[in-house]
Amino acid sequence: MNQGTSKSPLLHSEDWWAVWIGFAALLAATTGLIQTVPKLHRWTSNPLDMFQATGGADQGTILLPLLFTALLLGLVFALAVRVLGGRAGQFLPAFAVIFLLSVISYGLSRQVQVQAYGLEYAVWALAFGLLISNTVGVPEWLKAGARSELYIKTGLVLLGAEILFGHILDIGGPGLFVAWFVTPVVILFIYNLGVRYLKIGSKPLIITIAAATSVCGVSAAIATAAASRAKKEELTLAVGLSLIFTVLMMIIMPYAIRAVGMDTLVGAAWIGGTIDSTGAVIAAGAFLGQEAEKVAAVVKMIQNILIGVVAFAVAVYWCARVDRDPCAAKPSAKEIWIRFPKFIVGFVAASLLFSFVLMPLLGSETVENGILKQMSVPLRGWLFCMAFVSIGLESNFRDMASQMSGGKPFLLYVVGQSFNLILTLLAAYLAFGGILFARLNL
Amino acid sequence: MSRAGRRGGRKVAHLLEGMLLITLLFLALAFGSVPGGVVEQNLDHGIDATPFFYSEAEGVAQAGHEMRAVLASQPQ
Repeated sequence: MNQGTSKSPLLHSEDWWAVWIGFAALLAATTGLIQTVPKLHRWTSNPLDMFQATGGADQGTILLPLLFTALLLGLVFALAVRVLGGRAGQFLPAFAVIFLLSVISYGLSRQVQVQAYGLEYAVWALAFGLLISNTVGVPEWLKAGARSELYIKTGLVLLGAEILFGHILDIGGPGLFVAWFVTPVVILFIYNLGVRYLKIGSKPLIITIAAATSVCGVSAAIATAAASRAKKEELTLAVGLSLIFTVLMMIIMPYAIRAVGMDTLVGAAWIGGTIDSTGAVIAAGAFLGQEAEKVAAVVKMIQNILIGVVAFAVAVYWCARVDRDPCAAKPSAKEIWIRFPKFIVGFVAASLLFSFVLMPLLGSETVENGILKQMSVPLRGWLFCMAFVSIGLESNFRDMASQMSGGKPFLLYVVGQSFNLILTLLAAYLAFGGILFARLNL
Repeated sequence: MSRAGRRGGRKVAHLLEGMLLITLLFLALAFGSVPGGVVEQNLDHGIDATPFFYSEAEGVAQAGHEMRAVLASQPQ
């Protein structure tokens, strides 16, 4: 309780620290102070190859830049932890171990066969964290580094910079129709299904599953879970469901499309609008051909832009309706603002800044291929990976099992995804089948 | 053996079981036979179905640029 000492929330809330760190990173990238953040490379049989670039412009080992990244991140987060009331000295060694686990998790996802199956980093990061926490247990000293929310919120501010609204302006109607007509309808359907019919107790779990199903899997689940203040176990469950069905759908959908002789472009739009993960969309689309790959990719990319809109809407709805005392009067704008998760402000501000200021000012090449591709995107990737390792370390199977509540979340996902498949197929047929729009001439 | 010792032993055994499961899963994926279709194509063409670094800024961006140009040129 605050006993008379008026601490500024701008310095003493985790949300605001996420905004400051996120914007400091974006500023460093925009001014060229930090030009790249290392990514691990693909490897086949020797895991050490992940540290070694074998071709292209960036030859040589990435070990030193990786160590520098870890050190810089560790120091910045240690400062945040210190100001937030924690102990920087305890945080740093724990952070080092969590970063190391992130390197191993991400490294596994860079193995070529693992990539081909679409088993992304979150699978391995959660697996390692859960394995430790549910077997030998997490030592007290390691808990100091498991700041999953701080990593997620900072990563979300960086994710905001990737949501470029400018892309919407120069895109045609068919992709927009498929991605934007279906997504809100599916979210509302799944939310109502979970709350009214399946009567799942946790609304944050329902909305997180709804966003993961209808927008773009892991990233949307992270953003919505943070906006609705879902528990870590709920986010793990939603991400787990999404990851499993992503792999299944990536393998099955192209076969089904070919088997029934469906129009390739309609099938591609169907894939883009339904498979949760962007990478799996590309893989499934590529199976149908080059044009199909592009259509699937662009539908998915338009859908991805909705992450920000959904996260913002969920945050407002939660503050105004879900979290408020049902007996109290309608909350004022000030009360909503006080409860509002502030990192969402950073997320939206980063998106608007990059879409409407930096893109026109610096150009697409500098922003997309420079700032985002070289710095912001990989940094955000590391933060999410550390977040999932931390979530695994902070979760236990008993709590996760209790979230399953008789298999209802599984049923919610399956029914919701089935509805998504049917509605998206209809929208894809109307948009890409030459009904509502002229047929694409590729 | 003391109760604490037995508990510690069980924990280590669970850890080893979990590590074995992860290792088996990994080995099955890495060196086992790969079913045909999408996964095989991914392997043949080096397609990454695990978008750790958001595909918007990777190769997909190029597909997006090309596709946007095509879509923008279509009569609506």
